[in-house]
Amino acid sequence: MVDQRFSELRDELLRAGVAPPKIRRAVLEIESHFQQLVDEEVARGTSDHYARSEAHRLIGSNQTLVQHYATQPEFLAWSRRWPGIWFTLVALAAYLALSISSLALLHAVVEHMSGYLSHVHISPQVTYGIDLAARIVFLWLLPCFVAIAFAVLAYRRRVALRWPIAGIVAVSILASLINVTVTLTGGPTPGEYGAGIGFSTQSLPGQMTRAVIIASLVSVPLWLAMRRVQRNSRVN
Amino acid sequence: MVAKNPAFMAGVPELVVLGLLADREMYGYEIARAIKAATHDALNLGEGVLYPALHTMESRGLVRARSSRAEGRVRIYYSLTARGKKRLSRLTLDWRRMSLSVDSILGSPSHG
Repeated sequence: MVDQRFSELRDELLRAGVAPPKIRRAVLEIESHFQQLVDEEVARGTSDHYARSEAHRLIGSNQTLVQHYATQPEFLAWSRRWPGIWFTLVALAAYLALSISSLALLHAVVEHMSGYLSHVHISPQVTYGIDLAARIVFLWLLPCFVAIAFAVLAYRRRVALRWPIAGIVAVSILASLINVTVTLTGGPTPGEYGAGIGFSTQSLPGQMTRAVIIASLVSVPLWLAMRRVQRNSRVN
Repeated sequence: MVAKNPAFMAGVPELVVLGLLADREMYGYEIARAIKAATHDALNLGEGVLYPALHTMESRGLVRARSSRAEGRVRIYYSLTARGKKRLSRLTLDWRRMSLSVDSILGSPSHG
């Protein structure tokens, strides 16, 4: 029979910032210890209810266990030890790395198809469609993907909301400053593509609108999910 | 009670666990039982708290862990490493020295 206290212990350790592999190991061992204490008591002829309450007493409170794990830096997850770095700088680096590797992949594909592309003519509508798709991928999907990944991580590790929100805003602003152009026309000069970063007073309102939309798309669900967790923990 | 006095307890759980593991590898429940049996409940460490202590010792390279399945349960067995053996020798020496010093005061005629 699974005891409620161990799922609570798992959640409390997670909220205290203990690294998930350490939590799995701790809960596995403490739960197994608890079960052996219960079996031992039951074998002595006591009731299951008494055996369980005695086992809980011997194990000690969840609060004490969490305190022992949370005060040891080696048990804490990286995201908890350095949340500011993890959720802003690492998130920005992840977005840049993903964008650069996606551009490199695009370059490899175009190089591989250069023989074929030099013999075909791509209609302006298709050229426009490819450019639009590339913009959607680089300027919307990639930042959203990175921001969602870090938001999910923050949610699972119960990190203070301000860190993932700061990271989401940083990634959204960086994404709004990036510009990507992919022009595939076919023929002797099959096309060109490039990426740049910057802003002008003319484009700034549009760029900031993009940043606000991306940031809102990710932070609002995260905020709602975190709020639900806080409410549930208050009820329990 | 000795177990509830933090000043007396500093370093004791580590020494006791390393001392037990010097004989043979053991899993957490076995260690808790062995402490209980050897000290006749005088050393009340709190059985759950044994695990953060074991995990700290493992991360510091004093003990090594291996998992094994027995009676349908996964058990993590702990054994001493070379560093753990050195640490045990040092802690034992410290403990004996301190114990002798305290005994020499408590055992003197004026305290008898």
